[in-house]
Amino acid sequence: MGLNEQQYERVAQWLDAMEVSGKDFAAFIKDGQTFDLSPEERLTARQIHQDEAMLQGALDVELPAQALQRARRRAAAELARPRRIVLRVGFAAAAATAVAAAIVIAVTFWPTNPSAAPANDAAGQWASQWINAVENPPRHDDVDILAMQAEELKADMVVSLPAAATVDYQMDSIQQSLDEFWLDDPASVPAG
Amino acid sequence: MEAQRLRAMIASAQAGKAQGYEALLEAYGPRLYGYFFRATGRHDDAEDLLSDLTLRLVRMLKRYDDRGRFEPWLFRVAANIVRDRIRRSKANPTPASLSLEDESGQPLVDRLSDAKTEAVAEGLLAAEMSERLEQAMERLDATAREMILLRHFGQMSFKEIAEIFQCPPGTVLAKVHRGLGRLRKLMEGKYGPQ
Repeated sequence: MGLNEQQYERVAQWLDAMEVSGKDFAAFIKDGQTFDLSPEERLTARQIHQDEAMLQGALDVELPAQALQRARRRAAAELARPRRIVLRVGFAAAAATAVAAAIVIAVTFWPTNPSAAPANDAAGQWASQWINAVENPPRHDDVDILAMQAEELKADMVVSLPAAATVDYQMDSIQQSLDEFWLDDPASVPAG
Repeated sequence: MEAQRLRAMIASAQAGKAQGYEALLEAYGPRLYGYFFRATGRHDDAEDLLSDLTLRLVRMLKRYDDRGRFEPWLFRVAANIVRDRIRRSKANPTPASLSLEDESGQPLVDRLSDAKTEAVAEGLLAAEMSERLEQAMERLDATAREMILLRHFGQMSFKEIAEIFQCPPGTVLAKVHRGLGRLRKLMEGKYGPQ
């Protein structure tokens, strides 16, 4: 039994329509025309139907639990991926910003050639002192130098401030010195 | 499956909810696994392919248009995965063993005691049938085999399969018809394993 291409086409359309309609080997109307198969075509359609029914159940295999679990894990991992990407991008952006900031600070303040960058001298000295202070824990001498520089800075500020503010500032300064004195040397506090 | 329930599952999955994908896997996992196993003949390959399909499902489901039928869409994705795998395995072939033998080459049935033999007889018979079917499937033309599997597991129409293979529905039917006929004869023993 051999059907030609056109006949196979008709059987295919017929079987598709039958599956949709649920009707069993009945003629149906397509494009306003009754659509039916020849006895030969019908035999082929019936044979395919029976062969496919024979495979029902025989082809099926049990899905192992581990395979289902693996697929679930894969879905969960893929669903979590966009969140991970956002976190990674955010972290990378923050790290890049920090590195860029460090580079800018280093380039701006690092005294490579003092004569070539006179405008940056003060800043360069400050940066050097800051780096030195970080690298070497402060000793008394260093603290004294820093304290002296702080005092000089205070003095400069006092000079630049208006008169009334100067008095206030001096009073604050005296009070601060007193506080520091008692805190630095609690043993000298008179017993009350 | 009830259309309303299926729509709810798809909508949940499209919203990025894990429960939606789990429900879809529960519903279609066995059929997909069966399709992958029969297409490759190996359980480990079937497991890999199911996992790969899940990944593609998560990435592609947002683009799925709910107006179409879901099964053909899903099995079209599955068919593409199988084709990719077959293409790769042709480039790097690995020997596949389908025999029911232990590592030393002894038939597994020889290792069973009499008492156990009766208890597992049904299972062995089913395994033997499954193996025989697998061998018969392997003898089919690869395209015909894939079409038959898509008809069975994907419950696809001839027209839908024709869209995948980019050929007329009549050609699909002719291949399926010949493939099923050959399969029937192989299973009946007329052209059984030599």
